[in-house]
Amino acid sequence: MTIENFTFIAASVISIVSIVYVKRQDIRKAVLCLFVFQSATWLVSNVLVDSGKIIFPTRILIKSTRVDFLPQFLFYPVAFMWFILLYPSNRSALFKFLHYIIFISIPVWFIYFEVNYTDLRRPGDESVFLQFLMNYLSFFIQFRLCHIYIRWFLKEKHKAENG
Amino acid sequence: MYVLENVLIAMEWVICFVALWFIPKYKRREASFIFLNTQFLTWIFGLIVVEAGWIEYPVRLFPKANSTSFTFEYLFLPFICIFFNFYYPQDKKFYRRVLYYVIFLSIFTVIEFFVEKYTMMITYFHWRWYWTWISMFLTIYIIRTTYKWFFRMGTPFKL
Repeated sequence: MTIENFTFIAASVISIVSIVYVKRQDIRKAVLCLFVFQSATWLVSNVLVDSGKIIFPTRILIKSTRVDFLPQFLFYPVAFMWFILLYPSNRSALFKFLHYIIFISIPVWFIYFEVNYTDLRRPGDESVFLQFLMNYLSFFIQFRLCHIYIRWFLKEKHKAENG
Repeated sequence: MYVLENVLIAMEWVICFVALWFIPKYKRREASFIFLNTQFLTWIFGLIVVEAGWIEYPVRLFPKANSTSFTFEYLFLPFICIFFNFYYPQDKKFYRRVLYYVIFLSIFTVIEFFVEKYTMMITYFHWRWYWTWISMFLTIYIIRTTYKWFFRMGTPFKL
């Protein structure tokens, strides 16, 4: 088995198994998180690939897309789902900031692994530091916007239920 | 080159943005959920039909990144599903609900038939108009079922 196939399988298994651990009362919130983040990754990945900023040499569904479908559709949304489900709403701003850093680091370091140890992603011409910076910034924006949407959605839900 | 197709793609975007004004404020949550839910399905379904060689989209947005119709799957079909669900005759008799599905899907299929015949936006290979009807029915049914489950609106699987 190649390392690329192993990565696909491992990321998929981890994502799917982790979903099993979602509490019953959080299922709807979890589903919403998956939906909203995959919407963000779909758009962002298409724009970046179409503009030539990223190349994914090895991927599944190679005829229909040049985007690495599995991480964008499953792995990153599941990371965001756990980001929301475990979000420390009642803690200090520092705690919340650290929460952001920890969860954004998951996809960023996954990308680092893809670039340096597999053929899943071809690195850009930028320095390693700049690539890290851009990845952190990109995922921070996606996480933040999706988080804002989730907060709006749940606030509206609370309003609707309380009349 | 492909002027008609690009105009149609641009019109899809304009129609969708105009349609935003027709979504009542108190239904925005539901609309957003249906929108995202549809995208979740159309992304994977769209990739499968193209990967299997059943359909091709010669003229499309993001041609280098995608062989599927991004505009249709990311934007247009989700909006169609929003209005399908908002105008669904939920409390009417069974035959009215079936008729709603039949009319809606038939109109959609006819439009796609003419788009396929007279433009380069979509090309059928191992695909026929009735596959469009069937696949759209399954997609819309799944979306409606998930919508009803999420918002606790009675029996999810009931048509």
